[in-house]
Amino acid sequence: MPVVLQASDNQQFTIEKAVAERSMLLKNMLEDVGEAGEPIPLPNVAGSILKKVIEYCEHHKEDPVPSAEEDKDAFESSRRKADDIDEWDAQFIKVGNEELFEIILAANYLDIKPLLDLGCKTVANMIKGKTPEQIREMFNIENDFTPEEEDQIRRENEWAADA
Amino acid sequence: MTLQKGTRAKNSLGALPEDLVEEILHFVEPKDIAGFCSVSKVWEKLCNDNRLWKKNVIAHGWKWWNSPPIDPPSWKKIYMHRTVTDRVVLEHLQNVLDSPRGRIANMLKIAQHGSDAVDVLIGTIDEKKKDHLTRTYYARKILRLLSRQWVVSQWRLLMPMLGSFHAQHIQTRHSTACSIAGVRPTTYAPPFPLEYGAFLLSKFHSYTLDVADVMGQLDALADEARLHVIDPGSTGSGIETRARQLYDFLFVVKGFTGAVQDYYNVENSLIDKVLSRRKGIPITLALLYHAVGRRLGLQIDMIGFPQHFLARIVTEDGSQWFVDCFQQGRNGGFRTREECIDLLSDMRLVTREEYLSPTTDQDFYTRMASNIVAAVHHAPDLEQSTDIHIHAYGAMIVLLLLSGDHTQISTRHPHRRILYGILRADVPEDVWFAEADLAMLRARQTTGDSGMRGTQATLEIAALENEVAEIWTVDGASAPQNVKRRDPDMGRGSGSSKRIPRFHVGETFSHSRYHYSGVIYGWDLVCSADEEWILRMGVDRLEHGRRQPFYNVFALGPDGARTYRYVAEQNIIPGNGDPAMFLAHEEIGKWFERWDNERMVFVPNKELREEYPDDLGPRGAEAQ
Repeated sequence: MPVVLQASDNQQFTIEKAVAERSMLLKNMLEDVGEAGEPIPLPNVAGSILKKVIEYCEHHKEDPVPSAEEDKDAFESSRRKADDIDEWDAQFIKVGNEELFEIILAANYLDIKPLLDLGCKTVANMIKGKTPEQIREMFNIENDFTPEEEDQIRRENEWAADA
Repeated sequence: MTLQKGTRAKNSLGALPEDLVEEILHFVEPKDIAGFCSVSKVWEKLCNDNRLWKKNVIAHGWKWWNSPPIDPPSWKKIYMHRTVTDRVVLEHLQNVLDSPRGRIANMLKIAQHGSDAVDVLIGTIDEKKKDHLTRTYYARKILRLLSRQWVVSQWRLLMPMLGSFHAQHIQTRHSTACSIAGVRPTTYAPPFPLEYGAFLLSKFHSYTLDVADVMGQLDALADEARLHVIDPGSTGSGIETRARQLYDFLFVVKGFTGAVQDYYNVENSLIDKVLSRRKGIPITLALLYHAVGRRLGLQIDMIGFPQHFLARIVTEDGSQWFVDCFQQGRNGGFRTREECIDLLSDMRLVTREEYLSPTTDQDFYTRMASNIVAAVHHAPDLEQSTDIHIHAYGAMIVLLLLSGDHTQISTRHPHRRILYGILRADVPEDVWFAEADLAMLRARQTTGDSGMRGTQATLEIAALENEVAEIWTVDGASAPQNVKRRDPDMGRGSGSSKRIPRFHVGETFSHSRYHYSGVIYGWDLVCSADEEWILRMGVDRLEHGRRQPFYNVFALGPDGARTYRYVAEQNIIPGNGDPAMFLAHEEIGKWFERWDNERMVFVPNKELREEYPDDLGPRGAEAQ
């Protein structure tokens, strides 16, 4: 039984149920409403981004779904590594900053943990080894410290710098 | 890759909600996270998140702690403390590697960090740096030093509790679990189970031994016994029935047995080895019975029967069974009090109540440690093995500590001189122990302790103080004392009868007559042993006699036993050694930093290169 998704710009996508169920949000919805066949509106996701997200879910539809318990264990026991991204995912996520931003938000909204992680890892790799000033530029962040405050915080964290 | 300034696009990364930035930070290296604190106030908050730093601490994988961080107010501070400690330890380790001068002082600087220094030292052993043999040698040496210091501190903690009988603080459960994954506690909370002291005796020489492993094995035995052997409704059956069932389980089903063949193997006295080899002597097997029994709610007393340690149970009606865990004999190892008294009279001993009563913990440990000393005395290759000296040394330290505060002590404690001798020869980095011991002796002397009066005692203390002073003198000396040049007469033009050595430090060889393999780590132009040795070894009967180069070698016999020898050049057949057999011995790192597979030699470390500047291996010499 296929599922129909409707993006914010009213674009519709018809996909397999197994693909839709990569999203925990959709999975729960489908369980709740049963097989109504009505398009599911996703007002927070633009059609171009939804297309991309579906592409990801299509590719990963066979992946085992981690249980909530395992997920928690993995979270508690180690910092996840930013550099273990497989080849297909690496190609998939080669997008501009704005699109990356939209994908992360969509993955978060649709509750697709592996895609959210992929987006976050990608940003993590981008900011690796950057100076605070470079971070401000990348993220358009205003420096709201006084020079004295900034200097003090920098000194408090000096121990990490020459590691 | 930066956003163009001024775009201020709503859809830029800067517009990511805080919880997603937090999510991203979970993938960022800790040193970057610390650096990003000064980006902005929001980032400062996100980058100091306690949960984030807890994960970073766990992910780093530190396992050994001075005190395990259960839920500290600031995980970031913990991370910082350990990171800085690791760095400092590595700096001191580099000093240790670079020069023999001040080596002990530097080792003790590392030791000040206690268990916090353990992970980084273990980590550096795995690194394949170009000096990894030497690095491993010293890292392990320091790890053992840390282990010994920690064990001594644990004994000091235990000491005030040892006068009593163990039954008074029986505990059926123990808890070592830490709430964060992968963190091992290095301390163990009182009341201490009896096997804890046995663990400490093993831990003295085994820095990787973890109390949780030993306790875990005993727990597993108890669990198995509970499930398969002991009646499930055990409260219904009597003490004797259960004690016999447990006895059968341990000494029949699980196959724990008395070490009849190799009684004096020191491993029979070490609880971890008893558990893995399933062999022991009476006292360690009785301890096993006690420890598993306690986990099942059975009280099993330790009885200091002469020569042969026993266990005891007291049944509901007050009758006693004395249990021989070493050999089963008649009635499955269970003896009545009368039978024990008969045994005593067979041994021509007067029956004294203490032979048949529970020991104090102090007496129990004293006996365990004495057994180790006795085992070492009986070891066949006492001269050859440092390891076995260290076991005796550890046991003597325990005996000294155990006797320390209670009985009248004397500088002439039978073990003290031997102990100082081993300390100075094999583990001079334990000078901290000698210093503490001397301070205690001096304090006793000033308080007028009766065993410490008189000129004799003063002289004895002075002799011990000399040993300590000597250690520091050697440690402070600039090295090397004598540089060995291959051709000392070079440039003088005079004909010399001395020959230039054919072989170099780092070369492997086999002995032409005795066929053992060896590595050369030093040489003399002519035999420099004393006259007595030269005569005893018949050096003058050799073709080239004493006026030929002699080599200091590290040799491995066919059974893998290592020895240090002094060999005449004419007996050396070069290049016959398999490096793997030498690499299995960490002492190789004392002289060499790595094996060079291309040149087939061990590469001398910095220290040895300074002593033998012309000996950079055969190729280095040929190239000159």
